[in-house]
Amino acid sequence: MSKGTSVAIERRRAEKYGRAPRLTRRARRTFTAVVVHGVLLLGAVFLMIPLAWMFSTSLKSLGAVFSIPPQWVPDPPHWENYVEVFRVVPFGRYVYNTAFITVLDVVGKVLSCSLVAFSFARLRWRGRDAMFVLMLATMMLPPQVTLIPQFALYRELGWIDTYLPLVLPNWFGGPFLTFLLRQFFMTIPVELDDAARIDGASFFDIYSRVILPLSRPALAAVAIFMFNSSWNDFLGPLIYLHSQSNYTLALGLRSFQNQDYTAWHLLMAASLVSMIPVLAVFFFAQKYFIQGIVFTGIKG
Amino acid sequence: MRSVKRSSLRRREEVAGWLFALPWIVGFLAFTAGPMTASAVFAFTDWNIMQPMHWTGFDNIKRALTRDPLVWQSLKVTTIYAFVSVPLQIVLGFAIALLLNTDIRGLQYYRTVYYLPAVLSGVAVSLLWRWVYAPDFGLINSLLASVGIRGPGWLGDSRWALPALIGMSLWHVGGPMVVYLAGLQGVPTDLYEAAEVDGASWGMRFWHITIPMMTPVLFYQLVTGIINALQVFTQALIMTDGGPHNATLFFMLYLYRNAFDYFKMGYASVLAWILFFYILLLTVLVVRSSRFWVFYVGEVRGR
Amino acid sequence: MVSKGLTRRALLLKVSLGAVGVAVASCGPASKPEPTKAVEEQAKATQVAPEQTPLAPKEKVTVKFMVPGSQQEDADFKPVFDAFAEKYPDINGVYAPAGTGYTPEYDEKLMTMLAGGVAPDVFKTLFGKFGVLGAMGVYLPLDDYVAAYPEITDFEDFFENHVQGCRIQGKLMALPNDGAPEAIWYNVDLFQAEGIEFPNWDWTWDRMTEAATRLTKKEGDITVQYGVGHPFWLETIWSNGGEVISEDGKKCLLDSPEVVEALTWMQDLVVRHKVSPGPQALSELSETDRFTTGKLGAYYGVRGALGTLRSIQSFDFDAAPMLKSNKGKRVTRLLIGWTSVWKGTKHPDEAYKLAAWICSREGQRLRISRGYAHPSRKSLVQEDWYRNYKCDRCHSTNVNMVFPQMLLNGEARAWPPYPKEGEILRVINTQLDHLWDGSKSAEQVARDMTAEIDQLL
Repeated sequence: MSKGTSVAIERRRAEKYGRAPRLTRRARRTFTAVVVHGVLLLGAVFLMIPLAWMFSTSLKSLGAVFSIPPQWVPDPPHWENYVEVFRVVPFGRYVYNTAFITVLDVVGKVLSCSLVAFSFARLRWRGRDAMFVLMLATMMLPPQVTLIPQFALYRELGWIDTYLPLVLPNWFGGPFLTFLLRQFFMTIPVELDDAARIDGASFFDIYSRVILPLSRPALAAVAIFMFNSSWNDFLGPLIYLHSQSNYTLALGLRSFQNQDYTAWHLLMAASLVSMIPVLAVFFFAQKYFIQGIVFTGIKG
Repeated sequence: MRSVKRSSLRRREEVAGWLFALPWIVGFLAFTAGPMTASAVFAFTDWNIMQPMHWTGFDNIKRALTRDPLVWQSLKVTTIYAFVSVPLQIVLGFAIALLLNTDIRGLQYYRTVYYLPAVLSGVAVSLLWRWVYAPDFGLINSLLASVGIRGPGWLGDSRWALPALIGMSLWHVGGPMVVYLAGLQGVPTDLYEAAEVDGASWGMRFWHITIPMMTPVLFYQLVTGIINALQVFTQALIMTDGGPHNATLFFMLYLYRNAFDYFKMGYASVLAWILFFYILLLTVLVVRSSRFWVFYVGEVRGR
Repeated sequence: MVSKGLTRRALLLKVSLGAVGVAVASCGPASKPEPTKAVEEQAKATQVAPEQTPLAPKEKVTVKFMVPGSQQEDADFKPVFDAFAEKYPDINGVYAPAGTGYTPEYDEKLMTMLAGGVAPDVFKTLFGKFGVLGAMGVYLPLDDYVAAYPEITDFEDFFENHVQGCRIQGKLMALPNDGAPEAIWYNVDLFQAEGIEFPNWDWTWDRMTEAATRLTKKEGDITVQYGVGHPFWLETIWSNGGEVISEDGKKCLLDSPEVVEALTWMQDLVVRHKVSPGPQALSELSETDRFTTGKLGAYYGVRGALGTLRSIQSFDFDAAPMLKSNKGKRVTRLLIGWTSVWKGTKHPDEAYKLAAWICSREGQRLRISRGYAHPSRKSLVQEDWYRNYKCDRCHSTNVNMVFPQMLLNGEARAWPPYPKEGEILRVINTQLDHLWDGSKSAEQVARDMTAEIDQLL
């Protein structure tokens, strides 16, 4: 813990008791700051290097990829690798498919989870608490237990190689995100519901006109969580999607690496392309990401 | 009059409650309860999806528990991974959060940089790390070579493959870190000030205030971290395919192989149940142990 | 009420108990209707009779064909399907590549499609899965169709080896659409630069080790050029007189001295002499990539490799026969292009017509004349277009002729289909990891493989 906090306390103490000479305090403070920044910068570099390496590789020719020692700044940069990626495999198609599935997943998840969370947070009905515990219990259930029977079920329904097995379950709530929303809804004063009810609002009015508008940050967090897991999902598409025209990015990347060659420059370019939407959402909506994670991690 | 109105309102609320919860209830029956029941049935059969199933009684279970060394190997690999990577992530994430909690300048920039890798996952990340760990021309061994060290073969070396995957998991340390940071910022300053007045040293304040106040958060991260770590799949399939010689045969990969490579759906169902009970056992153990080390403010205040 | 008042610990405890409850509850009613239902479904599925042809005016029927696919392969199949459309205007034959290349991912995809009931009507099976899928009953037996359509099948023209390899317990489960024995591809320029004579019919293991040692180049700690790709275990073992599984299929024979000797040679190439890239080096840069970039002296491959190699521009290359063991025997693995009709197809007749066309003389000629793969028909390897094919940097017509020559010499052998070959091959590959990294001796590897495989059998 923070030398910084202790410094802050030191300062408070000094102000209180009039001890600790001014100069020493400032020197110590500077020293601590330098050390902390140094350590943090070092860590940041370690975390960023793999991404830089990825970007650098993606701009090399195959020959330069295997040069010793490695070049960090490709000379000349092969921007055409990014065009090549779209030529070698129907990458544009994969991007479209992934986006399509992701949008349906996000819409379904936000709708269904908010409905269920509203019920658990705001309505009183017999069996509610038992249901709530049951729902939380399913959080611990590894999805693998239901994987095989679900596969068999979708097979009977003839849904293999369609998007239904990937999308449909997301329209029926889900413990983790419902829990997040429920916790958020509980923080909204009940008086608002009562006021609305006196004005003749139905339960659905309360849900759609009182609770939802006040829960935008939490809904955004749910949408982002779902976006992320849906965009990166691998096992689901691996099992359910088979036509190349139905492939998602995750599958496309996998088959790209599996062709009998090791074209790392193209692989890295393709991987980077597949990360861009996630990175974009991260930069524009970092606040909600963090809010969401904090909400489930701390207030649970 | 009033009570009639109230009771009809109560009834309407009762109905609305079920209606609003209906998506989850239907989903639970269709996608969880139903399949679980079926899975429990499959576990006693030799079903391969394409041919009629036969009742085989306890054969699958007996085989998994007594005659299949790969079950134990994969449990071992998965457990080591969970029990090393999760605590490491917690300690490291906590340490970084402590550094960031020193009202230093540029907090939000550091937080962005540290958190960014945590949002990336899946196949792209696995491919990236395969290339980072590549034996001759990969990032790590190139860097080591520039200071004259011959790095190990990482993913291709049975001694280094699992440590390499654990190392990769630390790239995502920003996720827990953000949570700790928020937790630390939530510790009331009056506690520190009071301790200060009592003459407590920095170490004592850290040990008696910061740590106890953070234990609930640490505990939550430990439980969810372990549950997630036991289900590792993508990295194993993309980066090592379980090799070399089963050094990274994660449980989920072995389950997947049995189900979708050998088509032993019955046997794979048994494996799924083993994983389920294993997760449950570990969770119960951690939860039980928590009474000795997790501190809840609510308990003191007698809520 | 579960609410803010509840501590996290109590909540989790409750939750775990709830989970146990769910588990117990779902174990309870272990009802039997499900299996019976599945049995019925199965019965329904198998009733799809091959002869069933609707009397109503025919609509254009679509049948799909799946192969691993790659840019080259897709281009090579195009003329085949164009010609099929002309020949059968009432059948819509669709080329549906998996886009996976000849990799385990293709198996994975095919298997999940079969399991999901959405398999293509006609598809190719790769080495290591033919026996497995045969045992699962996914193939439509073709003997009746061969008899019903003699003119489009021209059965007698297939190589006997290929046909034998397509049978499972006597039943014909596939037609071969191509299939070559393995041989050696080598970089002519590299051999010349080192002053090594080109590999020929007399080359033995020792001779190759010697050449590979001279061809291997290091830069510091890193081997930048390897002598020879690592050999495939099966033909190495066969060439040395070893066997994998006894004829009755009940016993594994991999612990014989012949096998140990073969494995020792393989291990030495990688671990002792370091002239072959091990799995580690290959995960970074594959044999094909090393060869095409001129960083590998020679490697093992079938004629299908020509699909990639034909576009090499920077050096000459050629094909040479499979090596003889030091005992002087040569047995090479015959890889067969198993082309099967899925038992679940709705249009078995049309599917067979497509399969037969792909395997026909004309169908193979259209594809293979572009410099790819090896015909499964005796007549085709005698035709000029095959014998005389040359790409830009092909050194000689050996790139065509060493393959059929080994077949005609009786030196090619197909791996017989075993129902459990998926698991058997997994055991062997896992044990070979030990061989390649030197963590076990060849003897130990042979012993452990045998013990594990015996358990499976």
